[in-house]
Amino acid sequence: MRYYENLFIINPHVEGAALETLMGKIEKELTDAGANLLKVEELGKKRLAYQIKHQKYGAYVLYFFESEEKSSVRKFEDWLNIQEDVLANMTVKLDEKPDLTKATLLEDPIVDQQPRQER
Amino acid sequence: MAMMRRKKICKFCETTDLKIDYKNYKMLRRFITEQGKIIPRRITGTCTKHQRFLTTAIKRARNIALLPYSNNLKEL
Repeated sequence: MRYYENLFIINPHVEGAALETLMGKIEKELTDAGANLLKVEELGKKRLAYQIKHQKYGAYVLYFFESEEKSSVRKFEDWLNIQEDVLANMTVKLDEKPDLTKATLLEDPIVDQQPRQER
Repeated sequence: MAMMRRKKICKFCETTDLKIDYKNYKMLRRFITEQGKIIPRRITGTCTKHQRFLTTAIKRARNIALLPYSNNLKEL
């Protein structure tokens, strides 16, 4: 079994009931593709580093899933790519089973100093 | 006169619980310049192994709009 995570960005103007149906659709598509969804994390709205489809903000959602077949990942990604309200998506293969109890933070505070610039 | 240079230590070797992850973009921001370029190893002091992980993480973060590909300083 291979473990994956997919981080995708939803159009911030999709809210309420429309967002719920979209999320339902995405979940269904993933299971239909033959993958097993482990965890969904909504990471909240963020300012994008650059504009995507003329949007400056985006709602980040993180999926953890497992799958036997490589093709199911491909299928899911291809489907996401043609969705208008999904601005971007990226799948990363994980080396080991993810820790599902821990919540992922997009802003992880790390107390550290900036690397020293020479010259 | 010889310049005294402080020995640089790889941050990720020093603290093993510091994981390199593309989602932790606030941390990655320390390893890119204002323009968005990846800062070389010789300046940050990161070891070869961890620099390799860093570059992948930064490139992934760029792909999903957590970090910029480039910042035009003239526009700011």
